[in-house]
Amino acid sequence: MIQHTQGSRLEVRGVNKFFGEFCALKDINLTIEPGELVCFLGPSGCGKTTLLRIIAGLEQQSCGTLRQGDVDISQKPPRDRDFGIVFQSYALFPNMTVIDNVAYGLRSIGMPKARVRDRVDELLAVVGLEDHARKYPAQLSGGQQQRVALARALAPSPGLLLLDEPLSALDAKVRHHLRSEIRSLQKQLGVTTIMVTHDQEEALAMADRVVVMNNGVIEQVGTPLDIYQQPASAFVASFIGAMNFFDSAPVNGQRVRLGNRELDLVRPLPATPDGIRLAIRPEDVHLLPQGDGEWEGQVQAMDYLGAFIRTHVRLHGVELDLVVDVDPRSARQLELRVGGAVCLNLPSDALHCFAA
Amino acid sequence: MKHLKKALALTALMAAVNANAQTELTVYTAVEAEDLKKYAARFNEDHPDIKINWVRDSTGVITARLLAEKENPQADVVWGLAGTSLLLLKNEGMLTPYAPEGLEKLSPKFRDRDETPSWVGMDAWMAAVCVNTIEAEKNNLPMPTSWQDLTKPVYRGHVVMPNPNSSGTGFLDVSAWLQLMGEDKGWEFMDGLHQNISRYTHSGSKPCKMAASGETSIGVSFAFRGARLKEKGAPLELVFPEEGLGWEVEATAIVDGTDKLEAAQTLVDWSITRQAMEMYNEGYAIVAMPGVAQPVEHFPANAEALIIDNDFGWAASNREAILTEWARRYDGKSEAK
Amino acid sequence: MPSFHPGKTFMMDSSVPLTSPSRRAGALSELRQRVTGRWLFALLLVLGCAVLSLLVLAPLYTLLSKSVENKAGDFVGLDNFAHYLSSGGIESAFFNSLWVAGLSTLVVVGLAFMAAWALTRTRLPMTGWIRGVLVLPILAPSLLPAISLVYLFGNQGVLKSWLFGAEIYGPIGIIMGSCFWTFPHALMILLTAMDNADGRHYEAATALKASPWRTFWTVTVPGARYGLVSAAFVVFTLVITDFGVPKVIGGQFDVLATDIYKQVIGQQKFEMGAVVSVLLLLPAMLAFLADRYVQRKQSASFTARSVPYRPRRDHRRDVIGAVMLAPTILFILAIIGMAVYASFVTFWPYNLELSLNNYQFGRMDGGGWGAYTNSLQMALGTMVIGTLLVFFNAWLMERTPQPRLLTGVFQFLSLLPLAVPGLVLGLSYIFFFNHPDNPINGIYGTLFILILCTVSHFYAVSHLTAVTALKQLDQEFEAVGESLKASRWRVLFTVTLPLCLPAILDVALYLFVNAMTTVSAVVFLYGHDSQLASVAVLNMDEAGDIAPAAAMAILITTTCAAAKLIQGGLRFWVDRSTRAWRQGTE
Repeated sequence: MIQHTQGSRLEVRGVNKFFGEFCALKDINLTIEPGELVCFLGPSGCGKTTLLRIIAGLEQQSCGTLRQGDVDISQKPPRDRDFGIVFQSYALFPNMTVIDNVAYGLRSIGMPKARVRDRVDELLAVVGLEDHARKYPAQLSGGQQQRVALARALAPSPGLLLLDEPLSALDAKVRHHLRSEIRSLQKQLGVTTIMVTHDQEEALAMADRVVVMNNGVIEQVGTPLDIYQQPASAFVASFIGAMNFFDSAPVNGQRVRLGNRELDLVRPLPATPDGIRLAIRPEDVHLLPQGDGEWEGQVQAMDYLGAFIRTHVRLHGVELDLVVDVDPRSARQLELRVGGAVCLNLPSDALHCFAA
Repeated sequence: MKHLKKALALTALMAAVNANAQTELTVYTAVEAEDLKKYAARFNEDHPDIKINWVRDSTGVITARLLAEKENPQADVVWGLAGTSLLLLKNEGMLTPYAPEGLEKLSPKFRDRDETPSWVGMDAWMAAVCVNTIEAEKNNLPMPTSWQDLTKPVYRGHVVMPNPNSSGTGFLDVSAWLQLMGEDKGWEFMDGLHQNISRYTHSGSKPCKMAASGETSIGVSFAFRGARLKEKGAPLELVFPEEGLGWEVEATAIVDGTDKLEAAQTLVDWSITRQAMEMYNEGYAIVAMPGVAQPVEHFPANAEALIIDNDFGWAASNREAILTEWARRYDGKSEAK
Repeated sequence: MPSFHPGKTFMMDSSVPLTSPSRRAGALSELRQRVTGRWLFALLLVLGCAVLSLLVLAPLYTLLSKSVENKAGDFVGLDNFAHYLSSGGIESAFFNSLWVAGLSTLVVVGLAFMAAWALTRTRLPMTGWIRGVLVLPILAPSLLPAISLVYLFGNQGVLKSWLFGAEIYGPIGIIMGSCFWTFPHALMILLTAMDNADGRHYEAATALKASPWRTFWTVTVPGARYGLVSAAFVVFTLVITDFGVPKVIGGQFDVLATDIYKQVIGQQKFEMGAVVSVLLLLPAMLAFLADRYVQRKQSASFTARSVPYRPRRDHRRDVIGAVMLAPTILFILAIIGMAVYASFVTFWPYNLELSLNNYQFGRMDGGGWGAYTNSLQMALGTMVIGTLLVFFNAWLMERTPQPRLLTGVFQFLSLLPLAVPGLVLGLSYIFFFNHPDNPINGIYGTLFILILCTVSHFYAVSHLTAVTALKQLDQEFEAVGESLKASRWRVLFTVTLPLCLPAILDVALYLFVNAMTTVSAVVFLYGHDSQLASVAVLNMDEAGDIAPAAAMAILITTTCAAAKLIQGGLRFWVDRSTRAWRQGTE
């Protein structure tokens, strides 16, 4: 229903950024396909916002190149690049109505008045703000302001949409709603989108691919499923979702030692001279009736989190603490209670192994 | 067409005549603002072709300004500035010596001693003590008649005088006392006076103004200001201490480098005419030309006899040392009341 | 560099040795980029620096360089300093200056903060009028409080007993006079800092069950922190460099500024005046550095997402506000009222008959109505030229990409005039602009040089006001504009200027009223046809015509008040037409 130029492909090659001695970004290589929604995810200070600003041209990379479509944009000022941006603060022009905010970019490029009006109407309809067209930003709720910012960024049909923590200032309910709205709008328009976030749930829910960053380097790039199921590093594993970690030592190619036992692995061991860390997600641990499992332990605490119960278990013999997510029905069947005994298995296909 | 040409020619001619007629002189002065219009008007009665553009400020400011403008002087003439200031300008080579017509009629005290003087005097500006009669009565103060009187304990905290480091009037007093009494006695007198001084001001007219408004009972200042304030209704009595009065010559000079030398000379010539002297006499009891002065209201009739034989050369060459000594004696102490 | 995201304090430091190959490449691309994209703004700011150098630095150099020369102009190293320091009295003058300026700063910033709080955080009625009264001191020539203080607290003063036998002539008078005239400066800075508060912070505090007292200390004070430091810096420097008040009412209480007066006006020793000026720059520099340090930590507090704070109805708090305002308002009204009375009195204190005679300036000397018209022209010129220059430069500095070093240099040049006593600036202007080798020495003695001098003299506070306003705008406006293909110029005209209109009006008024009332610098620069009303006030007072001087001072004050009313009207109009987007109501 709303026409949009094809989203463009973005290539980042060998980008570094130094602030004095401090290395904010180190050798970033990344390709973003047309129409993709990519999330930059990482803790604060990991360089994700700096990378976004370099892509926008608001910050200058110390070295490296950027290509958008067939064009080398490495040295272009922001105005000569083709993107729309939504900031965490939205940066709506408070002295302009919703209409004027959305029309701002269209007027910049000298679009005829009538077409500006049509385009603004069109966009306001898309973001559902037709009724608020003549209001000022201060008269809108946070979610509405966010939509205005989105409409303003999209109005000139940019090939690339950059979102800098666009949802972080909103309350949870609005955030969930807008999440799916932005996602469907983005799919509908086919605009290549980069979103910076520190919220892993947001990233997993919205992105085609997630770029996990830490300390100025890319730790892993992959689909949300990849990232979750096949974390490339201990950092990714711990940053995305919950994960139990144990110190361990390799026995041979496919076996590791945990406490006084040896475990078989499905995944290959990392080649490292040092110790390794074994990891398993809480929901991958199998709790079993007493006497059935390979491991025995005692329930230390139980957190009821609605859909599941986060159970803290101390394993006998190895004195390791472990978190296990179990659905309430299973918990009832297993008669789980704090202080009670429990048996469990650590399925070998669910075990991850990282260099220590 | 012909008419138009004629008219144009006529206009051009008139403009040319006007340009000739109106030479504009920039004149720096410290003369009281209220007298400037009168001075210019009287001068223009004789010389309507020269227009005076006054730049007036207090003696200190005008002197500082003239010195600061040394590289590129703006003034053509200085008419009405203290002799001490003109001496400074002369030493900086900023004045053009000129012997105006009628120079010989001036009293030798009232001209630069050089054969071709760098400045010529107008009138004398003399010290006086302003006493507020109402406050004096309230505080039971007897009317002082001499400088020594002012050191009497009865006047403690009732006397205000200008700081010689800030004010020419203040320096004039100090230099007169030192000349009158000799250095040792002079400083001894000032030590005594200091005991009675409630404060030193930065401006020479301020002590008299303070006396006029009852802020102090006695202000050591100068006669002209006291007389004017009295005219305006201040309950003042002007006291001219019997030992003698410090004074300063007000004078005229041509600023070196003026491109209107002829007009400047005309002005200086006029400034020492009898007519000019009579004009000065309206506000000052002593003028540079002997025999002209008539008694002036609020001034003593024997003004001429009261003023000391001021050695300006001595005062100028010892100024720095006197001021340093003064500051050493009274500036530091003035904090500890 | 506004393009760094907030929270990051590190920056590109060109002095760091570039060792690794990647960094060398980085420096190269940085250079290329600067040449292509940012050079224009940097160049414009360099131009701004050049203009300020011409208006402030170069003239100052011509005077201050005399501090290391003897009378003949030969270089003598620090001899003059040694001589000055050994002459004694310096310790007391220096110490006096410090404690008087320090105490005045404490009092003024305290009172101004209380007033700003009452005006922005309570719902007192008639705040428009209250604001009007509170800025009255800035509308008055400096001699006006001096006359009033003497009439109030002098030996014949109606309130003399209030001083318990202490004298108004001395530190008490200096502090009272200084507080009077610097108060609006502090208030102006604090109001700008506190006017746009984010209501969310207050809601958060309420939600966290913070008491009003705790909210005050955890939200209000931190929010005004930058304003408080700036105000303290400005007041301290204004007081320490002012010689007007100490000269007129300080008696023989020695401060550095009057020492300059003594050296330059009393004894025509420019080189010693320069020595004291240099010494006077030291405390001002310290204050400047402290200000810079705090300012580095300032970031935008008011964004498009912020909800403008509107105080809720609370009678107790309103009463506290009124109590905080009352002493200041009474003091200001007493001073102004006394001056008005003085302008009608025939001869204080012995003939208290009232008459209008003192207002017949046509019959009076010292310039009369001509001087008044000159003052008007000069003030209007200062307002127009100054506002344009100040705001444009502040915008370049705050809202365009600039090398860090350049903004530092510019900030320094902008604030420098604050540390320079007017007397020093005026003399400097003679030395610099009247020099035969100066190609523009033709402007000397004209109204134009008075305008330039006045713009420079009052540059710092105008600059601070403009910068404070610009800082409060969302840092991303320009970035959004760029992404929408709008040049910074378009963002300037469509967003920044409209948002800063109130601050621009404030700056314009500030320059106008100061130009109307200023004396210390222009006294050296006016020509025979450019005498000023403010100088006429001084001259009339000097001649003992206190009542006409008071009358002229009241005329100037009235003119400034009229300007203030016009400005207030404009602000009201701006407020009304922008209420929807400022307050979020229709």
